Amino acid sequence: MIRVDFAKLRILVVDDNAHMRRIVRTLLHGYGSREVYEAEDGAAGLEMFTTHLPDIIIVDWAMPIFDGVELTRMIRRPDSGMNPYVPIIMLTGHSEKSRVIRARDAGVTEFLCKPISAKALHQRLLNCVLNPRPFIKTRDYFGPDRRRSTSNTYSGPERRSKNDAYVQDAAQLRLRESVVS
Amino acid sequence: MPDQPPILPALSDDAALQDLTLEPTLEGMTWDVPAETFADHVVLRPPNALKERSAQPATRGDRSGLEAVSRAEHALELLSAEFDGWMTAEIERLESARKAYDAQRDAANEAALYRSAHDLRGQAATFGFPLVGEIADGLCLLMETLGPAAPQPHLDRHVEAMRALVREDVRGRHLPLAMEIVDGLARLRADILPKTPGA
Repeated sequence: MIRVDFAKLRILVVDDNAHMRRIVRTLLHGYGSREVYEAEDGAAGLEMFTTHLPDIIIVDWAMPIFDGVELTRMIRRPDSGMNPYVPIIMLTGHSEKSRVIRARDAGVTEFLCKPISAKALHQRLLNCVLNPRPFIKTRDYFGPDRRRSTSNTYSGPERRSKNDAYVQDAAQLRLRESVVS
Repeated sequence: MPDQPPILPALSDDAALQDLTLEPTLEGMTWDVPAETFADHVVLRPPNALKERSAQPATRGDRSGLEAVSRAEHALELLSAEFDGWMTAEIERLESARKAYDAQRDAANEAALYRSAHDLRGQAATFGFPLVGEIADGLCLLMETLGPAAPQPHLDRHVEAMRALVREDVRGRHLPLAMEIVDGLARLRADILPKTPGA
């Protein structure tokens, strides 16, 4: 068994609603987090991401200036000087499937619908720490593997090529050299 | 005055730029990410620095996770003393946005009303007013589907209903009259929203 010490994690909360930021901060402190930063829109969130280098970002969808999906796309740039692998939890009132897919395709790590619960947020945070997925870089996507599990029953066409795969010397690879096309 | 070395390389100096951009910029985070390259994608496995830093082995029966959730729930319960005031503030914001949109139907006012309704959709249940959250959800659906064509009387009725439930302190779902209001608004929406296939 493994326990996670939240006091060792730095978390950034980006939400334009002050009440929601306070609720999320309260929950995070309850888990044991001490370093919690807040931003009230996407632009401020991006700035705090670059200055505070958070370990995990919790982001709302609907925000002025630029929204949570746009913020996620800006962070998930493999050529960025900042950590493009940072786990991003989308915390939103949107629950429609189309929205979940849009968030996923922007590179969101976890999706959590409001109303928020202490248990659900805790679970998403644990997933980020204990069960990170590999990252995938394609011509039009960079982000966590969108397949959470492999299906033995899938019978459709394979969308990723596998047959002509080759493995490069991983130890010598630098991200920019290997993934920027 | 002696020549000062440039702080940044000249833009034409590609080699210098390359060196600059390849510098690791985060402590503990390196760009040396193990990668498998395939024909049309690359799989990257960044080292799990978060687990390394924050995870510790626990003994069998460890309850630290459950305790963390309980502490968070308790903290939220203490914070709930503020929720009534917050709910009032959110409802006032919604009403202001409704009035502004009614007075001038432009994109900025529409966005403000939508954001206010969207916030309530996500927060009202946490504040103890789940039916207000449901009505806010319906208002968002109306605005998302019809956009500027959403009839003002329909928007007004949703906002008025939410204000009434908060004013009358209707928490939970036990009041039949409140349920009737929610159902009535759902029927109102069903009359003007396009039918979803299979519904």
